[in-house]
Amino acid sequence: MTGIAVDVHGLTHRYGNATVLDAVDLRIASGSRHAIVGANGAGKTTLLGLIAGSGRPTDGRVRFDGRDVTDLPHHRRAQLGMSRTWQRPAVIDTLTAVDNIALAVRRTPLRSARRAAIHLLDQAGLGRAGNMLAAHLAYGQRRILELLTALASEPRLLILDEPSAGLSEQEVAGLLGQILTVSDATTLVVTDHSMALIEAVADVVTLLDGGRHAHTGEPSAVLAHLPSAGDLSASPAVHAPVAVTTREAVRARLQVRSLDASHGRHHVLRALTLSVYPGEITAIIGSDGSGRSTLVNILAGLHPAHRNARISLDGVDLTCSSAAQRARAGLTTVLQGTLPIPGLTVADELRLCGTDPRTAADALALPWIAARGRQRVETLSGGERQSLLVACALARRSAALVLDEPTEGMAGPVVDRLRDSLRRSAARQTAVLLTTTPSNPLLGTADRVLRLSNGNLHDA
Amino acid sequence: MITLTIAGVAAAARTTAARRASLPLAVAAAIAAPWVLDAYTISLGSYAIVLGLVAVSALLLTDVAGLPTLGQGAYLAIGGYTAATLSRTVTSNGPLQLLAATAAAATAAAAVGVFATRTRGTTFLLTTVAVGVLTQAVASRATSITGGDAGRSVDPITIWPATAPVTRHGYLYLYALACALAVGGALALLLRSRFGLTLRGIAAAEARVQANGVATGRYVLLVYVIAAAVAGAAGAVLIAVRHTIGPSDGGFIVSALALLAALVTTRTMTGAMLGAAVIVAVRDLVAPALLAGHANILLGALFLAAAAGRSIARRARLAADPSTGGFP
Amino acid sequence: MAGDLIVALDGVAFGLLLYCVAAGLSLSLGVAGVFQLSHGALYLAGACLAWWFAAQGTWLGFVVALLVGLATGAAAGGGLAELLRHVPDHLDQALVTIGAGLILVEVLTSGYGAQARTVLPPPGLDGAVTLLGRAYPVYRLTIIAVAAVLSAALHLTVERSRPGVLVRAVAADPRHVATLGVEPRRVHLAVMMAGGALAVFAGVLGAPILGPAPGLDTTVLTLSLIIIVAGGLGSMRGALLAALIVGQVHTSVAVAWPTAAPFLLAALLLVGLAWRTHHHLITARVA
Repeated sequence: MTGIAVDVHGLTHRYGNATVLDAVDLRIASGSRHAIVGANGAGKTTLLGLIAGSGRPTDGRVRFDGRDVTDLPHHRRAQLGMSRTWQRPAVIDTLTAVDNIALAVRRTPLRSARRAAIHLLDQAGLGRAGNMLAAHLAYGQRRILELLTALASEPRLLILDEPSAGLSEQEVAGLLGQILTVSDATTLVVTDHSMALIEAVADVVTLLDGGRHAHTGEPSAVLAHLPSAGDLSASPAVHAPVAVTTREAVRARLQVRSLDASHGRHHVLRALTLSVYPGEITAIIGSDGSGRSTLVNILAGLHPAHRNARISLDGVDLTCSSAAQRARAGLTTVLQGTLPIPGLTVADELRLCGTDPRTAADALALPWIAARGRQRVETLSGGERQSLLVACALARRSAALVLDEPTEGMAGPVVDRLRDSLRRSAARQTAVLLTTTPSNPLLGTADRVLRLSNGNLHDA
Repeated sequence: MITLTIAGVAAAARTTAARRASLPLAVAAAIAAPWVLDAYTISLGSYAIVLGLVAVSALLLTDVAGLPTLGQGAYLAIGGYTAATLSRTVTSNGPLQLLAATAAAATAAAAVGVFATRTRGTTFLLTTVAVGVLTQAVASRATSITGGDAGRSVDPITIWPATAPVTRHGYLYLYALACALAVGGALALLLRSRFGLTLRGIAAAEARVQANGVATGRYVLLVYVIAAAVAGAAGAVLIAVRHTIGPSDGGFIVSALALLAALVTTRTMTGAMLGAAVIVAVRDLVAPALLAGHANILLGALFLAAAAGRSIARRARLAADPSTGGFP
Repeated sequence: MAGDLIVALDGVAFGLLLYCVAAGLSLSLGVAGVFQLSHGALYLAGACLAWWFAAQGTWLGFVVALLVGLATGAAAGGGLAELLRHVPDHLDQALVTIGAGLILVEVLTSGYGAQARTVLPPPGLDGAVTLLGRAYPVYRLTIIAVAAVLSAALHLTVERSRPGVLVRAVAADPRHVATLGVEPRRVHLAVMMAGGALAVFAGVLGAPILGPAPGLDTTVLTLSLIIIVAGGLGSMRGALLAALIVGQVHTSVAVAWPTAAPFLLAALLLVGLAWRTHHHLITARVA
């Protein structure tokens, strides 16, 4: 098998002022197993979506088996032999597992399509679940079901977006088994945060960086470019953490006990316990799908925890408080991926935060925050927007500060200033909690780094 | 009495064991009704079938295809006026009127649907409300075709060419019931086919269905047209059983009652028909006895009760799910 | 020609009145996420209040009607907001508001007697001025002035003030606003109260040209739905433009060619939809 299955040329995609993909050229050989890797926001999902037809690029072309498909809608591309899965498994809850798959078997009477579906389910060891409604399947089974659905149309190109997201190690192994049985006639394009899965599947890897095509090559060569989680153990804590003996004496400001949480049927966090101390920067690292953002949302009061959980700030129980009450009690949160609110100006955003422009501008030494009050936030670049949100949060000088992936899109010098600013906050006895992917440049300044995996925290 | 029977059947339909038996039971009870009930009640039963067909049409869009609608009354009106016009000018043959009404409603829906089915969710709901009420406004103003606010009255239908017109309530009721069973049977077959599964798929995960290579837009347009055809058939049945139609027969309230009937019981076609029977019974049997002249207050209460029931059921489902327990 | 202009002016008055109702509806849906189908009934309530307190056209009665209207409208909106806080699904909200609307209209109808009633304008506003050589009722000019001021105030509040920033922010991203210490629920409540008050207020204000009558509630509800759909959900300017067009269609066209008016309104709705959805598809985000 030679030839090019997918030929992406000069693909650019912008949302407002933010450029998600910047003139990406990429060729995917027929029959290859091609992985796309990169940090959050590198544009992986957008690239896959544009190849599959979930949207139209701002600029550039996509060819599939030599045919220009840039302007073809999603279903036409599917008819040409593309198939895909999503980060959150897209299955039809109201139909049985068999019918989910049978619907994807085209040009076949329903009766024989169902027979084919039962066969596929049997092979995958899901035969017993065939007549269950998809809504009643466990999360891992839904993943497999989605994969089987995508395979049922016997696609020539299969696009897998984060197939292992939210799966336990055992479930990933099962899924991997399924992926490895995909026929060589099918070209496979996959993104995933699990490097183990990428290494097992891929024969070519492309690294995206900030929406640009950084590098393509052998898996081992490209993965070596990635700052992996393993590097962290080598990164020394610059500031001495509060000594364990002192910690006993110092009361934690932000305290979380026996926290369990789910996304639908998917159990994300299990009996998690966490204390964040005044004057200390605690970092939690975890890949996407590890429950990192869920944890932040729970702390902020935006996602439900199971009943037995307790969350307190300075000894005040906040478990039953609303998000706004928590914010007023002194818990400031910056969520990941907050989109600009159309029509609001920079000054409006500051007013919303209740901070004055000077303080916010000083927080990250960004004079434009005070100077460009009349600029609309949707015309800010992604990095500027993120800096504005973080600056607002810092300016609130609250008791506890929780930042989820705060450096996303930020320019290098601003990241340096954020590091200093976080230290200053810590010096004011603020309890700082950072949650990031393992490669974040701020980790060097953390006093404590914890790893979130399998729903709980471990020392990194 | 009839309310009790209906309530009993509806309750029986909820338990899975009795679900299979409930359809033949309901059909048998419906067929037996003319021999048991008086003429007035039977004429109400005929209207309940009309409303039930509109409810089935609303159910098809709202529940199966996931497109909430409050405007199916518009297609009842189009079907009804088509049948009335045909009756005055061409033929008193009921089945022919039924076919023409169905075709007219489907044609109108195809024209409106090209625009309306580009939207989903709340915008679609808003659009259907507007389409429904505007059709009512046209009906009350296009006097030459519709007779304006006074409406149109027509002669009784014939069922077979060169036979006597049917005038007895019992026979008209059975004719309406036969039409409803034919429509229901056809829809039941359709919903079990790949088309029906695809519609459920679009309602639950449209992107997944597109990724299967299905042009979902065409399916949505098609189901909109089919639903309108069902409501159009209801219009012809209305003309057959009532011999008269006016603007309010397809108005907003009728659309709303149809939606209520579709959602209030088991969200199946049988459930929608039963729901319609309950609504008609409340409006025309219970309300006159309790609150003469103010049936709308009882109907309003019925809407509130239905919403409360649905919300309580949803909360019970959520409470059973540990992931949301205790969250404000 | 002058007659046409006079009718057109009527259209402006009615259009601005409708804008006040539609703006409330749009805010309820866009900001509080509440699907409000009892807005027409609230408008009818306003018209009835005007008829009860000021049918003979007294200033005292008119002012009382306006004040009572504002209070009951706010109370009704607030009550619905609290009730519907536990009913998140738009379809269920539609059932609740249809039910509440049915009951309200039934109660009102037994009050005003299910026939078209006339309400006289307050003294001093009941005369006519000569406009383009024709007599034109002063009260219609008053409606234009009041509704224009109200629309402008609404626009300025939403676009320029801190409450307006809150409203827009809650509409776009309630989670973000909550992390800043503001309860989105309070903003929802305030918006629903304002929406209810606007609808009843518009009903009182409009009563001298459009008194309580059967069907008034559905007419007003439909026209405001057309305005917010054709104008684009959440777009105040689009809604204003659509309201002025609907006002014209409902008066000028209805005078010249009565049958065409509903068709034109339907066309406006569908063209608005086609344009919006096309636009929407182009800017759709990659999933």
